[in-house]
Amino acid sequence: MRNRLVTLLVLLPALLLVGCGTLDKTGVYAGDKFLYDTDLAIGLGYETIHSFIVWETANHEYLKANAPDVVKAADKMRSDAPMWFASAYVLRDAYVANPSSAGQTALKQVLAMIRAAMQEAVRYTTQTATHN
Amino acid sequence: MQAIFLMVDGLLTLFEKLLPIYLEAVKSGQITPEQQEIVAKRSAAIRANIIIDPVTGKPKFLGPEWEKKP
Repeated sequence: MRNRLVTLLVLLPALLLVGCGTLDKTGVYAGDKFLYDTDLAIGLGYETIHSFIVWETANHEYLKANAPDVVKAADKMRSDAPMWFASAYVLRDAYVANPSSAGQTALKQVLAMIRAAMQEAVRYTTQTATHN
Repeated sequence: MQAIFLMVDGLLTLFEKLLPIYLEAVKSGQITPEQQEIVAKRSAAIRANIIIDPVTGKPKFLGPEWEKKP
């Protein structure tokens, strides 16, 4: 398991970075790298946070007794993450309708919150695994 | 204790299944239309998972895991 954790931690920077390649303009994003990066960040964020929530649910009683910070973090994500994702989609749609730097800035701010939650989810999961 | 090991192991397995899909799409070089399609479809699927609660007017994820536990 430790080797797998190391693998995960090594790959974490890749999770937190957006794509560094260039888009084939014939694709669905028509060369709009910002939009592609946005969808990628939303996808990675959702998978990570949802996995963390599922994991916390399955181990709730144990974590409540032994790692209350994890439960607290999960509850905060339960209450806030749906709003982050909904906001990200609203801002994404606004950007598609009217691509502007102001729209990009607002979207980046929401994605930063999602990214911070991802980091927290991975940190708590790996900490719990390492300490047990 | 064993249970928590298994769950962490399960989470890592999930990450390992998902990561190649995303890493393939984010690696250096040109991102192909097929790779773009994967990212676009996943984003659309996640959007479909978010519903608006008619009572609170707030978005809510499907699934009991998202309900706060006592």
